[in-house]
Amino acid sequence: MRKIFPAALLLAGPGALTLPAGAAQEPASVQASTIPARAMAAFKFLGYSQDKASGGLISPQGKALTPEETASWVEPHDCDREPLHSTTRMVLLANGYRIDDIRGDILTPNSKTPMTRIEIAALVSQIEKSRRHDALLAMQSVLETQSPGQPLSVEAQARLKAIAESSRDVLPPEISDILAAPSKAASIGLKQTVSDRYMESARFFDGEKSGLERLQAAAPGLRVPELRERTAYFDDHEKRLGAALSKDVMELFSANPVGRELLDGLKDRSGQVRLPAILLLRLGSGDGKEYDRAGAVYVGGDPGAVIFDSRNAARVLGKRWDNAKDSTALETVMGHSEGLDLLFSGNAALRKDLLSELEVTLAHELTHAVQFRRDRAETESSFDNLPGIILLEDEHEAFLNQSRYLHEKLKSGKAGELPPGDIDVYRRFLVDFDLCREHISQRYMALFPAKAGGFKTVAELQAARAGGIKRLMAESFLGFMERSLSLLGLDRGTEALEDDETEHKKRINSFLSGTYPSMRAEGSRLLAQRHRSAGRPDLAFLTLSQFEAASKEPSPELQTLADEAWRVSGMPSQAVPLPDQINVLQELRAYHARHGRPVSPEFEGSLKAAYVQWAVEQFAAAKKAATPSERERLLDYAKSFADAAKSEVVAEAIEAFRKTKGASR
Amino acid sequence: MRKIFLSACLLAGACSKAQGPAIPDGWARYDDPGRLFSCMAPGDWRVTQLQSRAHRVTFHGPASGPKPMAAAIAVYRHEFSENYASVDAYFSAQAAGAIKFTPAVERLVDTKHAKEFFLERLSPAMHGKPPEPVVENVIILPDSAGFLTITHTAPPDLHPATKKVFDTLVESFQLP
Repeated sequence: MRKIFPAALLLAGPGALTLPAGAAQEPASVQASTIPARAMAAFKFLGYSQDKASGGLISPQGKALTPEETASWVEPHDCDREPLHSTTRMVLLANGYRIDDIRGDILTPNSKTPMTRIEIAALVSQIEKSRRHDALLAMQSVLETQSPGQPLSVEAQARLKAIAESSRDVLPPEISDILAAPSKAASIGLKQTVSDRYMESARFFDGEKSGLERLQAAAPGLRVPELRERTAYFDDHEKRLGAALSKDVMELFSANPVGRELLDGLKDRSGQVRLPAILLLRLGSGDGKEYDRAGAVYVGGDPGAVIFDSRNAARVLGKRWDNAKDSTALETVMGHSEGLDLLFSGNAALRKDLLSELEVTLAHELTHAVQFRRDRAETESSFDNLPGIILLEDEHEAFLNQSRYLHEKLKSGKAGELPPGDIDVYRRFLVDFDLCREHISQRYMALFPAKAGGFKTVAELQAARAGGIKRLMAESFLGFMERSLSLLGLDRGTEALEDDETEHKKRINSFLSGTYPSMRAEGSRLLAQRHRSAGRPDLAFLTLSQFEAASKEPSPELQTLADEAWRVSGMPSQAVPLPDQINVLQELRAYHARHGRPVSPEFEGSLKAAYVQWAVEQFAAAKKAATPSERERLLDYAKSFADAAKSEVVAEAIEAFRKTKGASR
Repeated sequence: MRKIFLSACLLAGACSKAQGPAIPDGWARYDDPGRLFSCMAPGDWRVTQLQSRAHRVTFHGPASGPKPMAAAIAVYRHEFSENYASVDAYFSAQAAGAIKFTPAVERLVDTKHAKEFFLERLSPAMHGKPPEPVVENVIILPDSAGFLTITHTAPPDLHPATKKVFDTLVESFQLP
């Protein structure tokens, strides 16, 4: 689905939520001997201090915690009692933590011990700080387009309000207050307030970098790759299943030209393919937010990891085991590495079923793995030399590659059953490459409104970040030296971004002028064959006729298909949904017009009858609509078909009904 | 410590105030870089432009509310020599991927004759996240060498509100 940032980037903050392996339960100090070290670090991160005399904890507000309150905070976090936001869950999984949905525990990657409530509170706080920083950066990038000393433009105010609203829960309240009543003086004051808060945040995040990190970010020769590596597998069960699946994937992808291309992109310097770890974990908490039911994600890193939602595995079993269909119990068991290992590691046939369900998605995620290793901006982003966002252009390439993979699979004649969603994306690419990319962009913008954007977005945010670093440089000589390194890093990031954008454009242009025309022609025929094999010659005709219309390349088989389509669509039929019938009839008319043949009165009669039937059906649906907006939409549909059929009776009935509901057109 | 999350809120800042029709509060005039058209758009909607051969601009919005950025208004310019050999080819390609669609009707855009239809389709599937229905209004503005399309896309529950934005934008549309 999308990339998540490298595992090692999380939880390295002040007080640290991470500890060296084996140190998890050692006491933090004599005074706080009952508080495990990791929990103690979380308390400190959240601003708690220790009373020297009693050894007890003092809250950031100065209140002494009772032993009971302290004990409650150091209890294991129970996901059943305090469910995790899907994003928090995703962040944990991407960073090697595991969630035991049966016990409700969250286990750490090193010690495998449960995380306490205070550690989760610290994590959530860290995420909020990060969101606040991002919102302030976005505001800062708007403000930098405004003239100093002048009131904000109307558009800038509108944009700032939108950012403030989407991040209201994490932004300093004074910013929302100023935006609520923007006078000339207030809008000038807003610039200062946002700038101050952004600088505070930048100081915090930038100040957390060690000298080594700064050096590594600025100078590629000093980079130590080991710092970014992390074992992706949590336990032996995951490792065993990951190894079995990796072997299967190598075999499967080696047999597909696009698969081979992806494997080539994952070769290391010695020429060996280094696949990312392959994991099956339950993604999302069921709250419908962002990553809930994401299906699959790629976690950046070396080698990185592809995580599939384990509910995919449950679905495969559900197909085989009659009594396991829609079983939430099965889904829960499938959320555990042991159950997955026992069922899949030793069963090649079951893994084959699983991969046939997932392989097109895997082509998508492996494209992200290739991007991570290929694109300079990815590396620079992992060193914080570029702001990390969900880059729409990366998603376009990943969806294109999954469709190219699917195309090759169809060509091989061994495609079998394929997920309808994957076929749909492929069809969209064949029909209109640009529009398919538009649909993908719109989907990501809707799902991740604050995190998705294109190269241009990254460039704008980068400019605002550089401005912030320059202001920090002026604060002290030591700061100047340290931040000079940061600025060098940002320069590297900007250069990498520009290079990647150029390369991306080259790749797309080369594909469009080279492979695309033949893929489009072949693909249309392959899809038409599939429709025909499924007993739908009408849809086969539709697919090929559209291709002929678009490309002006005559398809000799179309005349036969047109005759078959007319036989299927000329009369209403249970086997053909009415929208398909109308669609095919319209295409038949367009096809005959292209070839200079007028259609018969019988044909026009069939089309009008279908229009009227559809108008009446939509009118009936409108009467049962749950909301006024749905009713209006359905009435509009009904009316346009009544008009197309020139049916005054139906059109008048629709308008009369509309009037009774208090609306008119 | 580095950031875990990444948000980015603005894309191109290509909107600017200029001479022309009255601009509603918070709206800005958008001038196509190739001078193919100009129009007004809400100032707080995000803008992507020139993403591909045919793409001119997309406005993503609304900026806030329960479904931020779930609607889009996109303008494309197709040459007949490229993806579609005719306006009919475009229409049938759009209808083919739709769950529901309407026949095209006439509409005037800046005194030019255009065709308009609307349809319902599913958003692309995303590896497990089920596709969601979206409603689209499509206006096709033909000329001698090709055609412009102005498309409004929104989830059904958001559609009535953003359709008003679309209509205002289309009314402000100016062609050379």
